[in-house]
Amino acid sequence: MTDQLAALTTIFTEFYYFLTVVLMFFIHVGFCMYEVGAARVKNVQHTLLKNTMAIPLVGLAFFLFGMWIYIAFQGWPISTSSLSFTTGFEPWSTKIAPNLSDRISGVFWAAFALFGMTAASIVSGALIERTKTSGFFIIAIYVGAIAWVIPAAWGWAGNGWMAQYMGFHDQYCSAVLHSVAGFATLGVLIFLGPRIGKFAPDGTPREIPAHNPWLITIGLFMIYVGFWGFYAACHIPIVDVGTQGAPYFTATNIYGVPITLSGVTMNFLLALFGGMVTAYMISNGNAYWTYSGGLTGLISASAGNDFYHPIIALVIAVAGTIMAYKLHFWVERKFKIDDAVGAVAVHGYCGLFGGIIAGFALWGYPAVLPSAGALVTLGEGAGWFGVNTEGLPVITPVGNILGSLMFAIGFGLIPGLILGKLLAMFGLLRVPAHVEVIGLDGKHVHTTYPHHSGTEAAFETIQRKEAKF
Amino acid sequence: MHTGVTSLAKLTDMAEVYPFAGYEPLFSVIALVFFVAFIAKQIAMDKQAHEEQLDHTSEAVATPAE
Repeated sequence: MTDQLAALTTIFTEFYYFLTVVLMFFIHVGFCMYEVGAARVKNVQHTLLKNTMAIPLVGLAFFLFGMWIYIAFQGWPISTSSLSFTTGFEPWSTKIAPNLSDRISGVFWAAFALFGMTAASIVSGALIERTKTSGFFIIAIYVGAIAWVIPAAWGWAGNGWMAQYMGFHDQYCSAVLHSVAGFATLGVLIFLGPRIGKFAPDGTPREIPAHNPWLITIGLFMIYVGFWGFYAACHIPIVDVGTQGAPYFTATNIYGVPITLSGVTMNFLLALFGGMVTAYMISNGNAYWTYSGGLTGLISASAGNDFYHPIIALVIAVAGTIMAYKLHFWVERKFKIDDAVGAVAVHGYCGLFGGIIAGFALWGYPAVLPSAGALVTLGEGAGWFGVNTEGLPVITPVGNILGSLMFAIGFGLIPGLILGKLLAMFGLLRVPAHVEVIGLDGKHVHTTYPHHSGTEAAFETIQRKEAKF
Repeated sequence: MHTGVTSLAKLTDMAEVYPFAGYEPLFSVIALVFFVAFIAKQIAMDKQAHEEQLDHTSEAVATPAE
């Protein structure tokens, strides 16, 4: 790079994404701690490894085909009828390796791969204590590297056909990622069934106590931290969206439209506050729901948190949290769904709600801004549901309702049901009942907490004997 | 081993700087095999672990999904 301005913006962007990836890793630390805390002692090691190994699994799937899907599918099948195999993100591409002519593709890939791992982790928690790891792996590959990626290509990119033709807007992935992962979880849960003993013979749900509430607490805080990184990674941090004679340098959203990180920061926090306070009040101070409320608030407001006023973000967070809390318990009682961590409510219901509400709250706002800097080019005939005076497609309720429902149902619930059914048919979904009762850690149960299980004392006896103490 | 890079005199002309450039399709196959082996091993590990726990007896207790 010989041009100083290009060098500065490129290297800043490279470093920016690099840091977002580091921050997003906290999501996985958080999910691991959260799920381990929620599991009973006899399932701790299985739960930990099931979640941990989703990280390299989805990462490899994203390397092999996930990122290619995101780039190749953006215009298909509306703007273009063909899929490119020269996107630069095929596994054989030279751009995702040390290459002095490309400083962005690798960090960009990593940010997306972390999004995918997050999607898989959303499913993981709901299935704990009775799911085969191999079955979960297959679900994780689908949810992490396919299910949310096609919606992202279509509706979460400046050149995505749903963004351009339907005016679909979902800046921080309420519908694109959370609703897809949440509803896919619901589909799988229907065939997985509840943990043995979760429901009394009359159908009343029983509380299965978490083995370590403090791990849950720290885990959810970590997820909040990682969520900051996720928000950051959804931006183009610095780009010229002006014209040749009138440059305009700014951060933009994923659609190439100028935003301020300052405003986004306010909205992130007010949505978090709204969700936490609402959950605290509605649950009468239940700690689990108070922490989860931070996530319900954020996910409900995320679709439009690039443009909302902070108080609008707060109000949406409040509404989404009440809805998720009520719906979770209603579905649990009515349909005997055992969602161990409330993932369907937090991610599924709030994600869908957030995607739909953004269509109303941001009605009329330009959905994309074409510019050479952000590499956004407007397709012919864009703006099915309306255009502004400059011919740009605008955000509308109908665009966001259709898009959000298509993602939640078409890429989440229905494939989740099919996957759940197929895995159950092939015996890959649920562990045998005997194994579930003994615990998925089997012969390793006593090594989880050696001090409490007596293993440590037994070893000390050997030590004393050998030391002739 | 040879990176193919022997000079840093013309930085603006440089692109790939890793060894064995040109073998990327082979690298992709290695990644795919590693990925498939990982999943296959997990299925085998699950089967083995659960059979151990069941002490090689058939499992007759119904789960709530059945």
